[in-house]
Amino acid sequence: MQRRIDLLNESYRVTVLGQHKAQHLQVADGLPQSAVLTIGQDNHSIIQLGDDKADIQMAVKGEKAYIRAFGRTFTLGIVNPVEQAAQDAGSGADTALAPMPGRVVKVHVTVGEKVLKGQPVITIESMKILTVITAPRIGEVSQVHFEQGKTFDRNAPLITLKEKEKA
Amino acid sequence: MKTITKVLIPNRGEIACRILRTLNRMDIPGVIVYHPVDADSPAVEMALEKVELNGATPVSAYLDVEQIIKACKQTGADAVHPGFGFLAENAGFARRLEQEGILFIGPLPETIEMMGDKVAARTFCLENNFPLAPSVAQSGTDKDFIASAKKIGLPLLIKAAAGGGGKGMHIVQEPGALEQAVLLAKDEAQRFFGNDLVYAERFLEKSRHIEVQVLADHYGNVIHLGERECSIQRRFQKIIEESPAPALDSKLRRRICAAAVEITRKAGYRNAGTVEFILAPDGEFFFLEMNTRLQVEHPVTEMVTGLDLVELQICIARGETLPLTQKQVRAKGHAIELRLYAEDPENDFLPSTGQLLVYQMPSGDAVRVENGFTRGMTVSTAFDPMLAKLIVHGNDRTKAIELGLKALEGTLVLGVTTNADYLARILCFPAFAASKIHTGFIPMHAQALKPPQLSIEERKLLLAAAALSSREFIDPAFNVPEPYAFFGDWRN
Amino acid sequence: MRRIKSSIDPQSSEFRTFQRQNHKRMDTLHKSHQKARFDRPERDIKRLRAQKKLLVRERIDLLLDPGTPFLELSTLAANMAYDGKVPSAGVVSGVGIVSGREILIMASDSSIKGGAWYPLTVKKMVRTLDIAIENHLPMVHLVDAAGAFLPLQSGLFPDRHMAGRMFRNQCILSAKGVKQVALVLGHSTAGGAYVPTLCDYSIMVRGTGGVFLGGPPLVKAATGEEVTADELGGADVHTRISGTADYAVDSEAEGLALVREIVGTFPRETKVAVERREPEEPFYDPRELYGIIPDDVQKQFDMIDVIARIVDGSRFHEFKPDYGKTIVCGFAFLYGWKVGIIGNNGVLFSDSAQKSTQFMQLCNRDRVPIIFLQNITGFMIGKGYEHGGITKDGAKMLMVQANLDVPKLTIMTNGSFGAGNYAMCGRAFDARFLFSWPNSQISVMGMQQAAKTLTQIRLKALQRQGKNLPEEEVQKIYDNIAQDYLERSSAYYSTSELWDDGIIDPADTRKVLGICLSVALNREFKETPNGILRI
Repeated sequence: MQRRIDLLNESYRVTVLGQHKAQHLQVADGLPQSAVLTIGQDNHSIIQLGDDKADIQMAVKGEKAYIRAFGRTFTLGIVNPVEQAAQDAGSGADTALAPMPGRVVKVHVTVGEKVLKGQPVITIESMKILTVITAPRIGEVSQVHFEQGKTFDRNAPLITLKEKEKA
Repeated sequence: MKTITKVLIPNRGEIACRILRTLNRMDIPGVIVYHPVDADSPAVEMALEKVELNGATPVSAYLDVEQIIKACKQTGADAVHPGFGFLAENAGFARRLEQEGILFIGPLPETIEMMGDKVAARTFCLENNFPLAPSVAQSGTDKDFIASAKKIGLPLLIKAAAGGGGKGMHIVQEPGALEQAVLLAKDEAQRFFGNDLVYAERFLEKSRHIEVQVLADHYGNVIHLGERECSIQRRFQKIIEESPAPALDSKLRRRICAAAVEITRKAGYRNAGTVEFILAPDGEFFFLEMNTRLQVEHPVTEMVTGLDLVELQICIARGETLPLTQKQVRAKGHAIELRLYAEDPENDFLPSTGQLLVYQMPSGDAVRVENGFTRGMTVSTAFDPMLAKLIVHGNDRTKAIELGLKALEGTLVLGVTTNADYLARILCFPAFAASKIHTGFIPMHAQALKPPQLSIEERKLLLAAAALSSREFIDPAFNVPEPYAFFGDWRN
Repeated sequence: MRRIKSSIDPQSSEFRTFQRQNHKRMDTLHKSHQKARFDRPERDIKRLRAQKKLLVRERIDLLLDPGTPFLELSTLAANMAYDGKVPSAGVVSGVGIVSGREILIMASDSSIKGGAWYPLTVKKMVRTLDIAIENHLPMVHLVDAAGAFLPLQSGLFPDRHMAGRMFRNQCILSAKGVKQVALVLGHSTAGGAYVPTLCDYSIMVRGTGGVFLGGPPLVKAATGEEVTADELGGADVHTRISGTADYAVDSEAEGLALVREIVGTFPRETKVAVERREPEEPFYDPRELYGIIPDDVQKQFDMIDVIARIVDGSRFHEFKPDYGKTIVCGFAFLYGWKVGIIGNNGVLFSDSAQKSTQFMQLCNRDRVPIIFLQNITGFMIGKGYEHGGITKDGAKMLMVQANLDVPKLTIMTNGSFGAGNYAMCGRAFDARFLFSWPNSQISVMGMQQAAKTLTQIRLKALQRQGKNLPEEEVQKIYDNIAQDYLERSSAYYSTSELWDDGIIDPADTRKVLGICLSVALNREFKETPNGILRI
């Protein structure tokens, strides 16, 4: 099966072929390598890929894997293809996403209002920092996803603009 | 002399646990009030008596004076230890408690008020010739203020008059950014502290943040318990503190501590407090602010002096005299506190949220852990993202650093991004070990403190581990059937 | 099981001559495939890109599981029709793996005349759906077609096995419990509107997908109503208002990912319970077939040598080896499944007809699928043979073969002429799949005989008109007739007319048959009565 995995703000196309205990893993168009994950106790595991091996500590929930290895801690996200395709198609330049988790302090626009690129549309607060979110392009506000006082997570859509007219 | 039969703690997280611990040792029953979102927290678990609070937001519950007083009455608590944050420096709250005959374990309301108003505090220092960094308070129009701020000279800081704790501060490097910074600071001040008064203060680069722990009883006895260095800060918030301040000339140390005691005495201060100073590179030091409460980093002082500050606070509140003189205060060894935050240092320290799937704190005698979370709890943006404090103590600073690294090694948090690895990199950083620290340490070494690049092999190993533990990848329901499995991607 | 001992000498000059010729044939085949699959006018590709559309094979690549094979059927359909302007007859069909399931994909190629339906397009689509019915293969339709190609509408609309048959087949498929998913990536007009609507799951792409019985121009012409394609039958109309479609997506990629998700929820088809062993690669290299297949259809080769380069371990248990030697019958394993193989080694005589009839009964009773390897010029003719009952024996062979309950797979390895084609399970006899080797030929009789006869007829007609031609002219007539005849009996013509399911590389025969066998085992072998044997 093939999925996109996000690691450190980069996306990788990962394919796993074969059956249990005889699996091969391929990253992008690289060579498939034999892959074995041995799960131990207390969140410890050993991952072997080709000739490389590493001791790691890992916890998994939903589509996120949290791994401590190489003296650092990482969060890997496995992206569902339908959601990924929807993200690639729809959002892009039509939606302003939250750069961090936080709370809506003030919404500056209303649905139907026409905005210019860079125009402040919503002010959010996180960790006692106020951030002003601006419109990604010129357009008409079609949806305000969170109202004043509501909290949201990182990358949540905040404001969506109406789709551009087709050429 | 007053008696204290029951103490109510209108606070949460690790400080609530820590206060409860001392209360237990002193055989004084404690009461925790909490918002439902904290129902599973260790403090609530620990408390024998607890009262649930209502609040539109969790923070508002802990700020609800009337509810808290009602809880005191309900449980028969005759004293309140406010911890830090929330209502700890709220003079109105202290007064209300006084009205109700409930003991506020802390300084007098008037002192809280004066020191809480940063402009009033500065006026107090000016009048008493205590050293102060050049500053100007807001008076007249915003335009006037901006003009006089410019006169102080750049760089400068715009701060909330009612603020503190490093919050609501804006640094201005260029004259062009001044107006915007003032507007933003005023907006934030209004939002966080209830009024939009700001002041401007000269920002001294490469200065050190040195603070002194003071104790005063109701009889005019004032002592200090040594200084703490809190220069390792990000966004004006401390993440590593230590005691004693490293590489500090002993004469200078004595002068700073003496100044702290003087300020405390002059202010008629009672109970525990901290006087914060800015130590400029040329050896001059200036009053920054006085915190009229127990501070987050108080454990490093406790480790070095062997004293229990909460216990001392309670004794002072009961009307006892200070149990020791200045001469009797002994400092031994070196302590370092590491603040474990749920944030991503590689992403501008943005707070991180999620569920604590794995939450292992280091154990053993070598480390003191002040912890407000357990495995399975959710970290949200409702509160400050501090998860826990790791405090280590060694014979000297080198040993303390070693113990600190060991403690971080024994820390495993999965499910929420933390600064644990980042703290370890700071401890290993040569400039830190050489005590070349100042408040600009983190921005100055930002590039060098970045984690080492992952090699391609390491990346692939991580991807493999994630893939092989995910059903999306390995669910046998999607196995390629035979004979197709033999063909690879053959096409005819 | 014993291994075939093939006596082919790869060093012999005959081997090398044949090999050279077959390499040339393979080169031609490969180039033809590439051209049919990928050569498109730049202008058409640009048009699709501007519409934010992917090319049909790009869509299929996104649909299939990574690292899995795809057996494309009838790539060269219509290669000798419509001036060669409609490669693959404008539609791509094939068997592949989607989310771990065996799926039959049918996808319009909108880079060719907007995906319009030519008569051969319809024939290919009907054939694809027949395959789905016969094998109970779930289907994914990638719909992106402009509608019928009007100038040729009489060849694709009215008759029994024309366009209507497609929709009828979809209904029958549905009743048989075979799942169908449609992704509408373009217009699906008039009758075509039924394709997604008859499916179990219908997904439409916003902006490009459109389903309507009459498109905007037709609507305007009929009632004067002015309406855009989107307003008339776009994704949102059909998913929110009319309920004609089930999902609306914003891009082709999202639609294809959604198809994969849906197919991923299907249970894996249960295969017919036939024994399966560990597969084993053939002992002899399949590529040696290039040196065995002759450069002239009249030259003979030993079918045993061909079998040795197809079956597991080259192991073959020959049945009744000393009787009816012009037909080879026996058992072997193909990718672990037991199969019966019937192959020609010459003309059919009574005894070879009888032997194969007996063998087919054995296979049928024991539920063993049969592979027919055709290389047949016909039954033996002549007084002795007629008196001996060869016609009767051939009829018995046909009777049993036609009524077999086990799946049949046919490969045209060389010649397929006359009645031999019937007996050896030609197209009319419902092989689940039928493929041709590039060298194969098919006609009612061998070329030379036919050309001679036709030339005679032409000469007689000319003589009646009083024309008497010199020898060179006669030769010219013969040559023209021969060339034309050869063209129309070639594998390329056969595949163009969809008389087969594609031309394959002989070295791929094993893989192709492996996939076909897997597909064929999705449907239970129903026991049907046998016909009467004229004994």
